[in-house]
Amino acid sequence: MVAAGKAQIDPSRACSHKVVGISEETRAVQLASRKQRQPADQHFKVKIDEKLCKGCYFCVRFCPMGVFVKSDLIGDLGYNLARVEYAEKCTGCKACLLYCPDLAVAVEQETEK
Amino acid sequence: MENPNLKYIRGRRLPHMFCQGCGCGQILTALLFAIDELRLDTSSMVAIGGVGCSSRIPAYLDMYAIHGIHGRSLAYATGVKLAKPELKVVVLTGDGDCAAIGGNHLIHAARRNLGVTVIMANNGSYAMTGGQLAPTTGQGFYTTTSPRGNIERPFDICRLVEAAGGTYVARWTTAHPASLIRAIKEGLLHRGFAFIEVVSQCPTIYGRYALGISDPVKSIEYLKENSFTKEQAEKLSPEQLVGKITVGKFVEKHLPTLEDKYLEMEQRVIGV
Amino acid sequence: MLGNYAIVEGAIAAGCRFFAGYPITPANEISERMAQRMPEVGGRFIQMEDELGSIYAVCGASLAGKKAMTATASAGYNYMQEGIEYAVAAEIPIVIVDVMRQRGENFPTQSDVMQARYGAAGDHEMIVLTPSSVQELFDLTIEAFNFAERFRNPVIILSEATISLMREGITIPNHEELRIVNRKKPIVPPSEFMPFRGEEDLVPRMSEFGDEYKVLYTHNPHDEWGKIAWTPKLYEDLYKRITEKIASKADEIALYDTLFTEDSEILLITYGSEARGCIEAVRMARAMGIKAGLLKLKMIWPVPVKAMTEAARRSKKILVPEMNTGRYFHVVKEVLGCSAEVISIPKNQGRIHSPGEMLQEFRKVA
Repeated sequence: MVAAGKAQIDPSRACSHKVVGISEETRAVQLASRKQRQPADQHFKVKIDEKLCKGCYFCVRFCPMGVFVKSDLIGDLGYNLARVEYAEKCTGCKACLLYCPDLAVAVEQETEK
Repeated sequence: MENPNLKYIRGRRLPHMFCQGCGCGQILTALLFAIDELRLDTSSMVAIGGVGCSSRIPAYLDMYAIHGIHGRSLAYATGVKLAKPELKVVVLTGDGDCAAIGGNHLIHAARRNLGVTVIMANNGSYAMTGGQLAPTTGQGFYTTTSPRGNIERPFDICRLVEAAGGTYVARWTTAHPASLIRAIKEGLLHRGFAFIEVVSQCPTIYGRYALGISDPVKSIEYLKENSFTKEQAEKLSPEQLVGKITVGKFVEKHLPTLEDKYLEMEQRVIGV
Repeated sequence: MLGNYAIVEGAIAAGCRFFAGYPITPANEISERMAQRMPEVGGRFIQMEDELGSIYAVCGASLAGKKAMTATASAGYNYMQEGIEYAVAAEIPIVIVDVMRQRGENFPTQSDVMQARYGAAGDHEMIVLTPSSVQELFDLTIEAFNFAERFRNPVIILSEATISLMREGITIPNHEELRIVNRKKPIVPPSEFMPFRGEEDLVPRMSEFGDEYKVLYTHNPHDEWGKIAWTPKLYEDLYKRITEKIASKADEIALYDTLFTEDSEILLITYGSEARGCIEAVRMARAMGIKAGLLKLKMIWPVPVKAMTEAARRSKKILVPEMNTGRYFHVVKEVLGCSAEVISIPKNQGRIHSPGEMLQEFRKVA
């Protein structure tokens, strides 16, 4: 079993939604290395539908790039919403789409200008 | 710009009724990704559910759906598939609906190798009715009908289906969405009885009352931490595996289905 | 032909192409012959693991577009109640044969007459047919399918161990001579189709799996689009339509035979195999000068009030002989009790009243 807290992972193969309980340092290494590998000309738009979000925060937890954050905004259903904070970090991996139970997330590649 | 699965939702009737962080929402999403990636024609599909939270998934799908009587989804499915074998039948059910009240239909549908795909959400209790004991509740855990801890042993439903003759048997959790989507795709394409157990978090009921975890993220992390693939499980001792979830594909066989054999017999009778 | 076989041939003539059953005496011959005949006519047969499986498989097959039937006996009929309730709620045309038999024994009885109507929970109307001969088993099975398709409701054929297991000669008309009714199909495109909107006859059109209509069938209360919904008014309106679609036609669809009812002073109202002895008894009575008459009901539910009132208009005594503890008697009493004396003649011995016994009853009341 992967021990919680101090797992050492090869950052170039890491994908955060497969591993649980990694340390802050490892997480930072992951994010930094991913940023380097993100092609400069690919950008994505990310949106959360506030009418559907139930504030489970799976997107916040499982996005490998930290695009989403918890927020204090209260949505239509009465939950504290998740929010898109760093859309520019999105690599289009679609983990948020796979994890969101409410079909509340949309991700779209921006077309070349 | 919209979620790619919205087009498969009946009347776009969202938000759905599932709780915050419910595994059923993720099963719905995974099924829709699978249907989309396989480019299945939803006009030739039928979704059948019984009663329970996960059995409500068919009501949200834009295809023919039966929201039937508790535990009888596989009986309906037998009638539908035998009447029109060209339809693709997917059964959405829960651990109580499928293995308790529906247990008899489950083992016979598996034995007959009926050509349907069963996706069973296993959350360890009868959540819709408030959290009663289910045949999959872990031993020792609290439920409203085992207030001093469950004294019964739980089922290993995948083993049951395998023994009954299911030809595709797999178990994943909602914490493994990519593998789950792949398994659902394989199940939908499989000719014969495909059974996919999806261990799901239930932060509102089982998580909160039995496990003491009511935060959705923590309850899905619980699944992740307590799951092992078959290869990993082989390296562990039986004591270490108590209460843990073994994930993976257990059975994939290709045998004649019930409809194949019936049609073959029919052709012999008619003399074609 | 054996009674049970006549049921099978009647079903096939009506277009039945799916059968699911579970072994139970005295309905086994129905399953056995269906197993033989279904592949021959391009239909599907399956022996399910229990009666519950049977009734739900039949619901599924009917939703998929096939005319479907199951058969059982009294003990197995208990299991099917929830399935019947589901078929009422989702308006699925199905036919159920209940070959009545005594509790724990295989002798004939007529004990399920109330269960056939009221066995399922919830509000519903039920069409229940009571054949009294092998020919009627054939004919009424065809009628059962016609009613099921016309009203989108379950229809029960109450056979009995006697009739199902006896052999009599029957006439099977050519197929062209038969009147076959099929369910109404949708005529508007999917975006406009309201799957639970009753037309003039209060019955909605019905699509089938595999076409474009993508209907959700559910037990829960639903609006006319099929969406699960509930308001007090919605529930009431839904079940008012579902019950009215049959109740409003009760007198129109009534099936019965009359014998000497124009001037009868003593009227027998009976159904099923009891009617066989009663026909002879009435003839014997007339020969002796007793003004007896017979109303033989081939459909006991919905109650044929008009037919009963008509037949009983000159009668002061109404006898209801039955092979049970006196069940349908209460129904007759409710309809006719104000204008005549209704007397129950129960006999719960697994045998019908002989004509001689009925004559004695006539003498008692004449």
